[in-house]
Amino acid sequence: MKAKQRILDAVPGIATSRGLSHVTLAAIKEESGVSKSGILYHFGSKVEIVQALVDLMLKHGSEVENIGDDPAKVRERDLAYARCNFDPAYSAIPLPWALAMTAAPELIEELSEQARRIDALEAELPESDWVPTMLTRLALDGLSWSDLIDKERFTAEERDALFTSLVGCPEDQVHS
Amino acid sequence: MIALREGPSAVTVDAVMNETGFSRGGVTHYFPSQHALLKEVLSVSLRQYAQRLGADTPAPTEAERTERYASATLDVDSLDRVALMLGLAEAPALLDEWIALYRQLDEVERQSGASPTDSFLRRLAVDGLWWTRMTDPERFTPEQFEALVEGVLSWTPSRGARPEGVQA
Repeated sequence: MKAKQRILDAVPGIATSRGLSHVTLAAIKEESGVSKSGILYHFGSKVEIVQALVDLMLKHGSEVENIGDDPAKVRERDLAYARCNFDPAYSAIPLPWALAMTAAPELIEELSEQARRIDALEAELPESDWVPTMLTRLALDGLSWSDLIDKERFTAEERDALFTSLVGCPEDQVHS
Repeated sequence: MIALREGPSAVTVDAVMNETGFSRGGVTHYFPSQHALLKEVLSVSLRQYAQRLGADTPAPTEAERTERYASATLDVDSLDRVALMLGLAEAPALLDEWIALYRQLDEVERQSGASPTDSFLRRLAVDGLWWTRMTDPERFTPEQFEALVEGVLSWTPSRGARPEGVQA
């Protein structure tokens, strides 16, 4: 596996075991096996590592945006939002947000602006549809934060029921 | 509170002392390290939150339990849940009591006889509202936030009561 990918792959494990503030270059070196100079070659600084994860999240977010604001496509957008939240690459959506909050607050603005645009796609829905749509998104957010805290909280069957209720398919079909 | 103003990493022993007015001697007498201080903060906060939730005396109906969860979690005057963010930032290993609390609440829903999916999802949506307020407070207007809090209590996602798409 390429060094760059090993570096990024190491981040979620460090965040969940040592804490978001403790995703240091030293920890990354330990977990990824890439030398410090190797890390600095690919990413000039820790902020650039966080930027790479933020960029991945922004990329998923733009897939939601690309669906457009047609009210008839609300369920498509829910599924795309779920993809945004549950990319195995960063294990849980809040990871880029959470890392940016602790390590690179200037990146939060990019994420917030996109989050606003994604919410705005639902602006034309009547309240009776807007509320359950936003609750679906919020439950997805809540689940990804829950995963960051306790990945084993729900059984596989329970997770499938959660995802099916929210986006119409079990978790392993979200990315297929 | 320090963590809200400047982010979890600003909670150092010095910062806590400034905020609480303890002398350096006073705090370090009781807390020899930041880790020990953090552990106490997480533990005390957890007990407070659990008490506000009534975790040890669950209400008889799911509706009441969800309403209690929503009001305890979203109460603006309570900062006990902020400790969760501190734990995630600084020492996830100290979150075991918080993890146990959520599992305890989940178990009540599993034992209730009905499918727990909707009650899980309602509480996850409440959590989502809380995290949104912490990380992106401008996301919803107060009116929108109010509508979502009200809506969550009667939300039944597992019954497919979702718009298939609004007819134009």
